[in-house]
Amino acid sequence: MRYGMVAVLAVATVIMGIYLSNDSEEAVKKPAPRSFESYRTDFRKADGSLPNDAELLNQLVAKGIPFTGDAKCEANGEDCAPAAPARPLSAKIIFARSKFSDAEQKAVTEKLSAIMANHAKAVFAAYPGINLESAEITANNKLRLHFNRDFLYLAADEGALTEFSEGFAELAASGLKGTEIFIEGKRLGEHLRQLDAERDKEAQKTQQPTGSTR
Amino acid sequence: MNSLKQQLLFAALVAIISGSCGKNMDKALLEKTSSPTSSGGNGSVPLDNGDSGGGGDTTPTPPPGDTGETGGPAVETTTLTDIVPDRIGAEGVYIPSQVAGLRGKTIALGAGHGWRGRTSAESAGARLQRPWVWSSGGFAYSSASTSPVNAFAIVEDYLNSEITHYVLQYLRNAGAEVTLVREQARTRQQVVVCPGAAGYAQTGATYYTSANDSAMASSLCAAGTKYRYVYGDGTGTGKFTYTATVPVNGMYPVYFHFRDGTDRASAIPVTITHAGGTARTYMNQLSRATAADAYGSQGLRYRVAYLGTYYFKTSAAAVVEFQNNFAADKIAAIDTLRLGGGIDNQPIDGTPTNEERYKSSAWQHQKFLGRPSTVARLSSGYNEDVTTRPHAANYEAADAFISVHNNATGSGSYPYSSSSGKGTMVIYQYGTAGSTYKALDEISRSLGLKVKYRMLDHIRAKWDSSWTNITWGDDGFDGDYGETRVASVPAALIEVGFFTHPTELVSLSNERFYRIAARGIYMGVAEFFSSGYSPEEISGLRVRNTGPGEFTLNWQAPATGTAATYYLVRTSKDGVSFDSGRIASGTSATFQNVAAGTVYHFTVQAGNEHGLSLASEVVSVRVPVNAGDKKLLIVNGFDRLDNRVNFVTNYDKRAVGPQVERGNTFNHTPLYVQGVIDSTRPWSVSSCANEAVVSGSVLLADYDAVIWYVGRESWSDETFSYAEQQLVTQYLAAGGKLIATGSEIGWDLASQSIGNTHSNDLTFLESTLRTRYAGDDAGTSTLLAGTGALTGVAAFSLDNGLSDGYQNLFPDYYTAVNGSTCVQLYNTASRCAILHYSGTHRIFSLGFPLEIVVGPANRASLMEKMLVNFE
Repeated sequence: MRYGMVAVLAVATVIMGIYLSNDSEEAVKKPAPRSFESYRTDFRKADGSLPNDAELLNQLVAKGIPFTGDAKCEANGEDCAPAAPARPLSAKIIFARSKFSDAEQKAVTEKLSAIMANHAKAVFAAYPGINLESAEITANNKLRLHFNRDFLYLAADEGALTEFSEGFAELAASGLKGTEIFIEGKRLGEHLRQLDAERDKEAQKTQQPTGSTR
Repeated sequence: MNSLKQQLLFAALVAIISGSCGKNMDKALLEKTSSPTSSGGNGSVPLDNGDSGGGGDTTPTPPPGDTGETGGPAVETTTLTDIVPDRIGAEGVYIPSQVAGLRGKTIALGAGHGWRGRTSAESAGARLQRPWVWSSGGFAYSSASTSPVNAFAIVEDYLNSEITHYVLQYLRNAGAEVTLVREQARTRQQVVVCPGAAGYAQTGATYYTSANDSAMASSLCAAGTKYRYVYGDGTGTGKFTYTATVPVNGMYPVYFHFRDGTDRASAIPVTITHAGGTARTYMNQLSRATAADAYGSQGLRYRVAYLGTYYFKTSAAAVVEFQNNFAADKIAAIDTLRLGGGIDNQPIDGTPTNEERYKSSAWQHQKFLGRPSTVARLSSGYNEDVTTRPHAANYEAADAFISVHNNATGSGSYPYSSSSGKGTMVIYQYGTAGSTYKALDEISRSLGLKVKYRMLDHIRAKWDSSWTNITWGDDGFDGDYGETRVASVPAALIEVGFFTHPTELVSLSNERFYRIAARGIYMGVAEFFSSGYSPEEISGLRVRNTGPGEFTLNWQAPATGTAATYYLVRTSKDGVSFDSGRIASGTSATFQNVAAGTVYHFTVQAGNEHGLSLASEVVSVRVPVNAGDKKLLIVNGFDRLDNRVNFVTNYDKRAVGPQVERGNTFNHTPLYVQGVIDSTRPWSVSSCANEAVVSGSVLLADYDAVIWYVGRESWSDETFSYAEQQLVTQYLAAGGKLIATGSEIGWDLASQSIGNTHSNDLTFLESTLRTRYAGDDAGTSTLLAGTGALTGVAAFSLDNGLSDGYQNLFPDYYTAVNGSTCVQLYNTASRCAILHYSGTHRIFSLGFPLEIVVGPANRASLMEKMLVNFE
């Protein structure tokens, strides 16, 4: 009886093992997110018509189906929210070393042109006097930008300065490692150190006294 | 606790005390050590139970882990041991004294952006700092900065906070004190007790009124309110107490606002009475700044002590009691207690936003906290949010400042497309040699790169092995970013990903990703402070009745990461209010001599010397009332955690869990248990995670009936995996009884054209569950009265998002197949909500999640009829 039980258990275990190891869920590869538009025909309504954007969105959200942006514009090779058209830079980029091929130099120049065009449309809009006087890629792969004095107005607005600086991050894809900004030949950091000191003094003027310890 | 364990814990504590811990806790411990009431130097346990005057006791009695968890008969025993707490971590858990981790470190945590006022170039009014990613006739990145209707539910102002929500938990669970640059609590509710006002009481000592205003006199308390103070007496005879009643049940952080000082006590005993029991911790009011600086004198800085987050109920007062059990030459400042996050009442152009405070910018929050003009700065007369963030860290004299952001391609008008930038980058201040460079830059560099690369490693290991590393920024920036430039403490800003990139936006819409990124950030901070890592979460939690008056809780140790050396088991009697935990040395805990019918709910966290993991899902047990009670197993298969199941704009309506505050809270099992209890049917209950069934740790065959709930689990996470289908099929084939409930079971298992399907799905649905999928959306939240096996069940409603659960969306409707019959209809078009099959086995197949049935009586009625049918 004992041996019989063992045999039954052994067989059951083998069957169970085969049963459970057969094409388990791990073998099912979850599909990568598809574009929003591509799901529309998968969610036809009961009457056979296609759902509108809101209806389709509700379906995807309810079911946790990841989706990406609008396929219509991307399929047509367009930006879904087009950036400002790139314009030639007002300054030529000087490449400090011949590390970059002509094609790479062209790509960096075009990308920087696009970024600056974006900035011209957004960040620089409030500071029309800003002028990029020269740009260079240094030997240690930094993008060095030389601006005229009007850049100080932008630099005094921390929100605008942050937004301006963030705009260059995509140049990382071209192998660049950061920006070095000069205003009238002086480093941005030095200008701001001076400005910070002045701001500290101003802020302290309005600071209330702390009172006695108890 | 046995004396050996006690001694080991004490030895560990002494080792920690004598080690090079952070400055604040060191101060606290040293002060206690040198206290005249701690004779012989061995009464120096920092968190004792108020008996520090005993003198000479080398093994001081540790305080109980919590007074609220042992409500059963006196004979009940457990293998869990009480804890020697050191401080309060995230969600009110005790951080055991053996946690060295980040103990004594103060981390300023920022989540950039949030509602702010205008700059000089802008029109009047409040605004978000970044636009929503939205949808309108296709997807674009909108400039409509206040649009509440959006496709992706992403706006950076809130997204950053979603991630820091978890960073905060990891840091606190490692023992760090976290000072918030922006508020983090998501609750809109707020209760305040001001010194001397209603709800405040003082006894047992002489109390003095300060000449100075209360820390919150300009915002929460009446104008001119003065704080009070009391001297220590070394015994704690003096007690000052704050009593409040919350407006709605829920989780509330407990904050104490005060002004610090060099004469303040560093370890003021605090007892918090909440719905789950009583928690004990200490408050440190000693100045953190070591000297006067640009922000003012060393003392009298506006500070906020975090005393834990707890569940409070409207039916029982929240009580927070402080004692003057500290040195006689020190004082405790008696000021303002705040429960909850509240709404932003700082006017912008004359009008408050009335948004939850956690959505507000750093500037708004720092003004609310009473911070001076050197912190919450003005620029050209308008608020300056960017530099307020590091100034807040400086003001607090934090040991590090971490700011979490997300990125976008371009500026002003951001194209949303696959040509967008993608990946992770770091920002820190690194000056130019011989000019702006300073020694601190090197430390910030170390912090920044550690945070970035540990996060990158973790994302690649747990989420996407090809996640992009952006080296732009690895060398630092000289001046470009005010958020790090003006920091006088080590500071780094991490850009987690690009929400303008299609695939990264999908990641940034997922709460699981937030947790992974957050843990990576924590790991970088831990490495910066030369700490190891806390363990990752446990899995496969289950609790089973294992004998008369006995049940056992088991779980799997974390599969990856740093090993756990103990586990914190938190207990609840109602499923929402948990105690602060007790310790298990291994991966199980047994309770014996438990009274018949007792119900407990549990959540477990893995721990080691570096900290605690996040909490597990909740499991529940009901001990049999009678020896012959039938056995019910509840399986939680609801694991889905993407934002699209969680996102709600009204956080007041969120459900509450120990781990996740919204959407899927991982604590629905208690509702099922309550349904069984209210049904009055004689069933014992065990419960588990579905992973415990799949792994074979729990055998369905051991139970007379199984409830398998999958909530809004759907396509991405699968309602029933193939392995689960096989186990359920086997169980039913042997005569089992099953309740299957969820809103997407039919839709997921019926053949779909979008993939993620298995060839067995439809067979399982129709042949095993005897359910034919008829449609995805019943189009209603109301069910008619039951018929057949459910005769007697009255009509009821499903949660429309305004009750205590989560919103009913797309409930499936079915048609009968293979012998099943419809026993309850939705109230529209004769669509069937519940199928019943009664043959060699029995099934109730619900097209909706049972946990969102509105009203406990309705849940109980439905449960009763189903269980009666199974009896």
